[in-house]
Amino acid sequence: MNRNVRCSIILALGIVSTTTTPSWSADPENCLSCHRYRGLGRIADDGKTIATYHVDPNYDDRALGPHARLRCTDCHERSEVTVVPHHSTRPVDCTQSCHLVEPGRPEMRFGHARIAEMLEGSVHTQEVLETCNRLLGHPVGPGQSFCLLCHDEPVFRKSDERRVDQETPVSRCAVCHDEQLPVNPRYMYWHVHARSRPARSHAELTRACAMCHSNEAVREAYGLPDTTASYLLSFHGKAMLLGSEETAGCLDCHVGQLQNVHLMQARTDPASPTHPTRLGDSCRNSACHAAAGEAVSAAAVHLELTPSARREPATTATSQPNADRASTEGTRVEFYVAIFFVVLILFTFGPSVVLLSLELLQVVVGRHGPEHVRHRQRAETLLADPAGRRALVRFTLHQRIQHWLLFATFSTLVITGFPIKFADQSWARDVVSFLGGLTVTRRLHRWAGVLMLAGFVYHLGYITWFMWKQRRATRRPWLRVLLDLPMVMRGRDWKQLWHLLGHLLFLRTTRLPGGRFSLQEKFEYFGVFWGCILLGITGSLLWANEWTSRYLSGRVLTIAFLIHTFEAFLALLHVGVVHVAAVIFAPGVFPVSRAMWTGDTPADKLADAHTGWLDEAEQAVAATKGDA
Amino acid sequence: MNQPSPVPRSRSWVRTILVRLYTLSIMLIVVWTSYTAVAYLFGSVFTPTVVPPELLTWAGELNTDTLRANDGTTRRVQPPRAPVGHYHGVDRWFQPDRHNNCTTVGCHEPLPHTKRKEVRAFANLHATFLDCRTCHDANISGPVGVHWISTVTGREQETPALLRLMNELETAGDTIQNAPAEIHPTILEQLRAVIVGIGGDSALENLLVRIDTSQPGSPVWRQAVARLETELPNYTRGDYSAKIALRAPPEDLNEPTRRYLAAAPDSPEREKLNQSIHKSVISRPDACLTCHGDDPPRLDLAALGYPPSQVAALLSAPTVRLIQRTIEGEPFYLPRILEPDDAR
Repeated sequence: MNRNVRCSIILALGIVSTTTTPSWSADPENCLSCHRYRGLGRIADDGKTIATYHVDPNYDDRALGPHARLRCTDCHERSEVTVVPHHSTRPVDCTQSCHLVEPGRPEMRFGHARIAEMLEGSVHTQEVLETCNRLLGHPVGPGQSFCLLCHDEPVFRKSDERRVDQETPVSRCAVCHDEQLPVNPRYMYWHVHARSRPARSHAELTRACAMCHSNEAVREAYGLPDTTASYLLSFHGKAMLLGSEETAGCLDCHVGQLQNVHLMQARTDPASPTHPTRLGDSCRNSACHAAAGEAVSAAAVHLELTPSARREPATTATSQPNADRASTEGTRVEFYVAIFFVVLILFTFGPSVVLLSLELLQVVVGRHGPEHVRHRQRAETLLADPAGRRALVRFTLHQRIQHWLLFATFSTLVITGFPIKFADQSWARDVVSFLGGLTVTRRLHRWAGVLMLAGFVYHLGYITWFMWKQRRATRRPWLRVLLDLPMVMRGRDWKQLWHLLGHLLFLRTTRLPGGRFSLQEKFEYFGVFWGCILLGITGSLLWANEWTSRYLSGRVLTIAFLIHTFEAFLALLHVGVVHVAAVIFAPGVFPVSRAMWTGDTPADKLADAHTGWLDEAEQAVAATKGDA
Repeated sequence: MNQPSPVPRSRSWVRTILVRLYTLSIMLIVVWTSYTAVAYLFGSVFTPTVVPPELLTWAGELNTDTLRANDGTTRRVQPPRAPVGHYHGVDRWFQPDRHNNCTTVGCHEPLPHTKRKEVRAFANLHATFLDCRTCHDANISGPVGVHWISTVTGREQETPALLRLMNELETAGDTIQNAPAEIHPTILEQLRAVIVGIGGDSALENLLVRIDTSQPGSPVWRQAVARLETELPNYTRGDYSAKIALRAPPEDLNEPTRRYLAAAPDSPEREKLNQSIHKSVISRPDACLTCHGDDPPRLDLAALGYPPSQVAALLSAPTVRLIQRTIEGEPFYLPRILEPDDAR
């Protein structure tokens, strides 16, 4: 034994004794005694790129991934790395065989050569990967395996359980599986446990796919639309952004059952699960929409409304038959639905904002109608009289109850619904997380919707009862009674609005006397009425999506999704901007209007917008007193 | 909408102004919110969907920009996957030293050693926990006074909690065996400090809970403490949130450095300042063996709080031999005696 060898033995024993390597360690060469240091690395000759040689020791010691049982020299050439300083190392070939050694069992040889063969039969051939790597700027260096385009060090995905819950079964296994029955319980537990779920989260997978599928150069070369973007616009994509693992990720649709990702085919290939002839069955697989109709596949999983985004880039010689082209075609109807709502929002919300702003402007410049003071005194006189006060109650108890029910359900719907609409925003993830995750959020949203619809039914019942009372008192036909309901818009309301606009634009000095409810209020009421119906129907269709797809085309789901989201946005704008500004922040009512607490309206407001209602109240009070 | 109340004229005037300003602000908020909403609406229909950056951000390489952007001890590398082409997971960068003038001014990188191929990575390994002067100061020889300074505050601190706890567990075997309740609070306190120092770790946090919630001396407690003793050496990765530095205060080089950076490139003045700044710096110190091989070594590792086993390993003959051969440019073959049969 020469001196060098003796030194080596002592060094090895020294290192082993100081690093206290566990008995299952896959680092018999003790590479980690140096490579565990994070600073082990250097800046390359270009002065920019960093070569880091740090390897996480926990990966081996805690059996964090399927490669934890491998020695460094299973992948790295022994003759190059067992000498210090190391020789220039050749890139690792992922298809080479490695030795799997289990204590007490014969050595097994294992390799990924089979995967390379699979890839050659898939859409991601070596040639495609090579082209992508070139177009991405050679992130995978010369000689390195193209596996690295999608993979890095594989790590077992831990569950969300507490660590102690994860360790308990391991220690239970370890009761028997020690030196007597040698197997690494931690590794085996995680190997099985982790494999019961996909190896990566949907977000990680989307990121891996987006590297090429959202890259302009790659898309250009292969004539691909931005499938990541269109995925994110669909419900699946939004759910993924909000951290859901139950939703469909890329592989759930693009990898067939009992297959693996390395066998992925283009959509045009009949063997592909996304081929039009198989897509319905792919959606209806037992893990997803098992009870749905075949038409469910027509729902847009890749939804892109913008016509320019649907236009295909010029195909080049490298193009394959475009697999995803068809997925974003045929969304013209959906686009027109979106256009309809843009117009609707512009022509409903727009005028409301203009009127509100002009009303506020009157306060800023200190402008009132010439008879404002007189009307205000009339209102104050009436409000001081119990009979007058009764006559000026604009909202009855029933109406106030309906309002607060609507307030509660609407607020819940906004809090639980808009994080889903704006799933790409960080605040949305925080809100969903605060609410207990996407599943809880959706459940809350649906039941709040049910409650709102119940409130709507209550309102319809209230109207019917009110109309019945009116009909009995006046003996007028039902239609007349309906049209005379206080919240129904009439021709004179429009005339009054036109006059008001002239007044607010400083073209007229007076306002026309307003009745119990202004046109703006009637308009808001109409919006809520229409919104409840529309949101209720579309929400129910989406909730019962499997039932829907059994009887209707899957595109109905996409259209319902669009209507639901745009109508909700319109409702939020109206309530969140116009209504809230008018009943909370407007100077006459700040900090909050009392109308929905007591049914009263402030004298200023009555003098400005409800002088016709003051006349009616005065007449009613006079009649009461006359009778008395 | 608002009518002035019958109040003194001056108060009424102020109130009117306030009400109008308030109303104006509400009006502006309404207009701005509406404009933003409508702009979003148009964008969502007429412009292509934008994929959020976090789904598109992928690092093609590790480079000095990302290294310099490192701004905290617990900062994890983003995005979560390793840079494409780099196989091994990079969970977080090594801890930055905000008080190292050599790197913070931009002259030297946080991984400063680039020239000598055979030692540069080893030297960089030390750069995360040794101040530059500890090796590169021309005025020192033999054993020197050193202490730990925090890389966060730049001030002197006690031995890093990780080393203290390792030391405690190694040297207090009897106490652990016979008087566990006595050492229990120390272990907890130091373990908490270790976790904070390394920026959090779920395994150590779990051990902390197990030790904290079990009776000192009970089988659960003993098992957890034994596990802790085997786990801790894995965390000696040069991340202590502290560095070993000379006790002698460094020369104030702020003003010459400022002038150096302001001077024109390649100007004689710049060159002169460069020489002046580096007048007491050895570019190729022979520090490896002075720390690992000399007797007594330059650094008193035991006094710095290193546990005995670490001190013995760092000063052992094989380590010295490895260093000596590496410096001399001779290959040092790693032993294979502990590898399985097939590997020999």
